[in-house]
Amino acid sequence: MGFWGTTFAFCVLEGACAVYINATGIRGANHLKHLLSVTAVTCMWMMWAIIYMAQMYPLVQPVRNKGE
Amino acid sequence: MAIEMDLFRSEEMELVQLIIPAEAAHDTVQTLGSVGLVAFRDLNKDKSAFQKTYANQVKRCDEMLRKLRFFTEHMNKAGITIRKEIGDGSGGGYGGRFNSNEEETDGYGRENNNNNRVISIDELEHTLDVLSEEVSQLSANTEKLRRSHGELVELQLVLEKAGGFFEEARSDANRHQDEEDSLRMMRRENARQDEESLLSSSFRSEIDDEGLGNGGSPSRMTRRTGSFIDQNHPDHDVERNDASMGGVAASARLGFITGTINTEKVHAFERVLFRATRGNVFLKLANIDGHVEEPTTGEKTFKTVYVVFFAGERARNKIVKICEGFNANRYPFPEDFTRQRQMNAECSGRLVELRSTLEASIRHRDRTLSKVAKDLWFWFTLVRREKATYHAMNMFSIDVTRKCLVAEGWCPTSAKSRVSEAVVIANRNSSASVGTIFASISHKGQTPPTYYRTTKWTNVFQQIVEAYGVARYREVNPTVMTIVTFPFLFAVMFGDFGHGIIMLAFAIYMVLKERQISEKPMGEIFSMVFHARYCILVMAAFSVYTGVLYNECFSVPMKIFGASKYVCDPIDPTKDTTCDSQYTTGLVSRDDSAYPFGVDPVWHGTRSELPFLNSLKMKMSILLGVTQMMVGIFMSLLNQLKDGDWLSVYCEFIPQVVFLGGLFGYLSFLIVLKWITPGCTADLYHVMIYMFLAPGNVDCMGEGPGGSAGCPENKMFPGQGGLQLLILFGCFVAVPVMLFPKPIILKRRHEQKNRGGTYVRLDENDGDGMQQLNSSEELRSLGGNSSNNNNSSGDDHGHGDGEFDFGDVLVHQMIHTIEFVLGAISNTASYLRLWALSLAHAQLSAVFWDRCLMAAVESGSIVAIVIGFGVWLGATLGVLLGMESLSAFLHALRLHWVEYQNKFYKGDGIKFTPLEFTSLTGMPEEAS
Repeated sequence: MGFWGTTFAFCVLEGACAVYINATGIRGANHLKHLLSVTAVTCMWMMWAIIYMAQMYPLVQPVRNKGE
Repeated sequence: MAIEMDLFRSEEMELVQLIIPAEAAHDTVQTLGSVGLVAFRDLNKDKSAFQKTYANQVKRCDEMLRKLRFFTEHMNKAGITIRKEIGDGSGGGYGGRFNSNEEETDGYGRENNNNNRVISIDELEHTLDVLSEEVSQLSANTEKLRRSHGELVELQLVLEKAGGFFEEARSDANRHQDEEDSLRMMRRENARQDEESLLSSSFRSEIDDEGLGNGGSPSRMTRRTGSFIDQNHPDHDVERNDASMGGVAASARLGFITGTINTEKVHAFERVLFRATRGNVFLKLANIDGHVEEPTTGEKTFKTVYVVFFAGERARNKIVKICEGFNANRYPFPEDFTRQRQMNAECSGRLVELRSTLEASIRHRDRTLSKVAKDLWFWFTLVRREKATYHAMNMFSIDVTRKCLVAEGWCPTSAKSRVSEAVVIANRNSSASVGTIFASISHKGQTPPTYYRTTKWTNVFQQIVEAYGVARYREVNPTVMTIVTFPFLFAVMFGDFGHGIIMLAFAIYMVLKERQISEKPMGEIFSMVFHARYCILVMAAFSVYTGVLYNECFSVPMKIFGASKYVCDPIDPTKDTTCDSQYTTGLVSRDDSAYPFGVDPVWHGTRSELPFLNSLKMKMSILLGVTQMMVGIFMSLLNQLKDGDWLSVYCEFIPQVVFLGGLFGYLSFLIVLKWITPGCTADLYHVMIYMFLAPGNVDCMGEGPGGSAGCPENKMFPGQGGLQLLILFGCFVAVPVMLFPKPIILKRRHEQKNRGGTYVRLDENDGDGMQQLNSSEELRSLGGNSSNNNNSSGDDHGHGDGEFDFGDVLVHQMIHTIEFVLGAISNTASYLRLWALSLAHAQLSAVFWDRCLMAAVESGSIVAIVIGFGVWLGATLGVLLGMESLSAFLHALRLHWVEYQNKFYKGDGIKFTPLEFTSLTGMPEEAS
């Protein structure tokens, strides 16, 4: 998937949320819901992206404990 | 703003004026109370509570409420439950009225069937009078009956038990009679007294036996108090000898008192009696099995029957007093055995009689009370609403002729038509001769209240924000972002898949069963949790997500997204067998891409786990924090744009963005850049510190050997030195820009305005002159208040009517600037709590898992596993899901209140508190 692939998946998720909100909500009164879904998806994407990027070129390597 | 989003800004409010004919006033207020969207302003602030027009009616309502509470008390005592629902068929004809109300008022509902009211408040007052009289009389009667019943029961017990003493003593004495004939001869003197004493001879002989200590088998009772008697028998004897010398007079001095006493007090009673009479008493006790009702209080207690023998009138008085002091009831006890019998029989007879009377009386009282209980809920509702109505009417100013009332109140613009419609209907229903005038008036110089329409989802978040402060009228509402960011930041700290799932299940349960749960009584703590159920639901959902990202389920890594990316180092010769290098240099990544979703499971339990996770979480905290603070600053831009306050945009918003962006925005940029650059080993601390210490010299040029670069790895991109210089310059310029221009420009503006003031004043007033005419009187009276409002908020310069204090404004701006500059650093550091809490959570759950569950499993014994599992479950639920979630909640709360909201939120508004009836349903909390 890579970075952009998953990012695209998040965009799709947001799109799906938007479609769902428009389909179920009252027309013209969904701004709050849209904003909330955008914020939520952005937060989720951001945290994923941070963790993903941190692992792209790690400077520390996993060293196992001998006992295991 | 073209798009109006719910909740983003508070509802627009209008000040409306109502001129209501006096006869329609009551109905109008009641109707508006049902609509629940008008907050009346108090126009009689200067009057004391007694001077107000409807003070009397309010007092009457208070009196009625008192009576209703009186009924509630009696019902609680009688154990009658008060029906909460009204109008469900049997509630009476009037039930429909309020019930329909509640359904309608959910969404601006109005109520227009005033005429359906079956019971009027006056009728109710009369009914309550009669009923409370009746109930108090019935209660008094019942109380009296119960008391005499209790006394009779006790008397009977006394007769039985004390009679038992005497009986036992008699038989005992008879048995001894033969054996002790010879001894009897020796104490003839004593025998002489026997005939004179009040005691029955048999009993006396027993005392004698004991007193002389002649070795005859003592009775059971005397053994109990044996030490008492033995120890003091010389005294006792002297007394008795005295008595004997007294002759006939002595007969009056030796007597006994019988009664009952609380078992708990027996020892103290015994001791006090002994001391008070210097041991010249003889106490006999017999426990009563089971509870006995205390006649005076009606409490069920354990009691003991006592008989005190004493000699002398003085001792008697003392003992009576002691009995009173110990709340020991005294009962008459005839000496004569036949009289005892007779009395006992009489007692039983009366008891049977009394019992049936008492039962009938209680039944009657309960019948009356349960009749009241059926309506009590509705009556409470009615009276409380009535009181609120008169309370509101007390705020109206009354016209001299007393023909009409003038009311003013705030009402959301969106609900104005609904309110005016309700007013018209109320006027028509009250068949007033004149119509009610409803008009909006200018609210210049007054702060409108803040009102948000919330749903059950958003309400809890709005409350979280309002716990900090109510938003200023029409300012950006932090709640909108908080709905997502609050649970999200919580989840960053609480991230664990397993814990999240448990929490989610709990929250879903509460949400699905909210109807059933809310009907049951709940404790204070649970009710708090229950109110936050939607917040908890979102928090738990995000926790599940962050748990997946952290790859932890009860601290155990999950392999949802495939196996680890790390393999044995290909250059290791033992890579196909034991792979020794994994214990020394570590595993290496298979390819350049990272684990697709979340933290690679390989890290769990490795030696380098903590260094890796700490670095990751610390940087993540800073990135999230800087983002959220930036959002906060942009929120302040929205406020400034709405007010058209371009001065603040240039002198606050832009320098703030430059400063925070320059320092920590740049740091965030470097963090990301370091991550995505292969093999970058730049020391970010060094870069940031030397950005200030050696501007422009990124790679420590001249510090290395031979004047070369000392830290070439710190140069991360071309042009870095120049950019850093620019940033440094920007930050240094931003501070004075925040500090000085704004107060100076404000001062200049104020002076200009005042210079031209004398000429433009007329025009200014002309604009809304028509409206002002309506309430010119009002505005004059409010002039004082409004100017105070303006001065109290330092940067509220828009009105500019009051005095302009340059020093004040400058100091305020200075504080604002210093707060921001220092805050930018300390707030960013404050976001590191995300890392700290998340680390603590992960470590705690790992410890519980390894030390409790895994240690038990390794031991192999079933018992150990069961115990280990129990301990682990207890720790997980109690420590992690209970306390850890609370601490994560509090830290998320702090990050929102302090770090986020101080960027834009004024929070000095007035909450909109309309007169509304739905909250005035049923019993008030303190009465139930």
